[in-house]
Amino acid sequence: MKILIVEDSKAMRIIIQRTLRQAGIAPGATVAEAENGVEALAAIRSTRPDLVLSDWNMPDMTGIELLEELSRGGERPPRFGFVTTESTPEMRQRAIASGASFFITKPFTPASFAQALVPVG
Amino acid sequence: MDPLKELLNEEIVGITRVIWRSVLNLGLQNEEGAPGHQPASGGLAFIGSVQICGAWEGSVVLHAGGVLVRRAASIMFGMEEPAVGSDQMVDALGELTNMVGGNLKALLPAPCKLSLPTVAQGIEPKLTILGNQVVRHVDFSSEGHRFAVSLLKRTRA
Repeated sequence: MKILIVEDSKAMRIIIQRTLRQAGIAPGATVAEAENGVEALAAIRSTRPDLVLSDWNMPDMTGIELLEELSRGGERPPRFGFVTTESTPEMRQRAIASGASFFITKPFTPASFAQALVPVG
Repeated sequence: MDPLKELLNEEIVGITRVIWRSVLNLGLQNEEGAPGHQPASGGLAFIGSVQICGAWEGSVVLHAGGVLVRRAASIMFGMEEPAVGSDQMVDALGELTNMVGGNLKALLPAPCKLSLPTVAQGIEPKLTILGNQVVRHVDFSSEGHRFAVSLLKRTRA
């Protein structure tokens, strides 16, 4: 299984990886990182991850712009969800309309990952 | 209705406490009423800020001394404290500020957008956001080190 973490904060990318391990999500998965939506778009198209965990608010291309670009592409997108500080009903609605399957709000716990991501892996 | 009447210091304390516990696994004490709010005067300090724009306009500022920011970065990056560099400290404080700001934003009128965090560092740094005034300020200490969270409201363009 391949997981892509899209997050502009290096510290948060490390914490998300740590939390995935603590939650027992997809042990043995290959985890790659991207710093923004532009990098992630290239990575998704070249490596075809099974799961994308994306921040919402990032420089260059936000997480929702990334998801909307993927949904316009006509290709089958990976399972995609947000790990973000902000989670308003409007944001959730916009994300779900573009195919997002979960929202994890920061700060999070291993339990929030387990609840949102089951039955991944 | 003024939303700030509903946004109490206790909510800032609650949000910050949850972030400190879940991200850093550190406790904190609310030092409200203690004199002054400057973290570790004379030493390296960091100020993180995020702007809120939309139905409510203002900023959230997190001000912390270098010792505490280094400790936070070492936990977030999983590194020994002496190995933590300036970039990691900026990243860590920026993300902590982003989380505090984003969670406070959820208590303010919608729709609002949150900016990317900005972080300044230096010896006793000061941050002035023109046209904004402090409407809430809470002092904390964690691991014996002071830090503060402030909510500023935009009062003029």
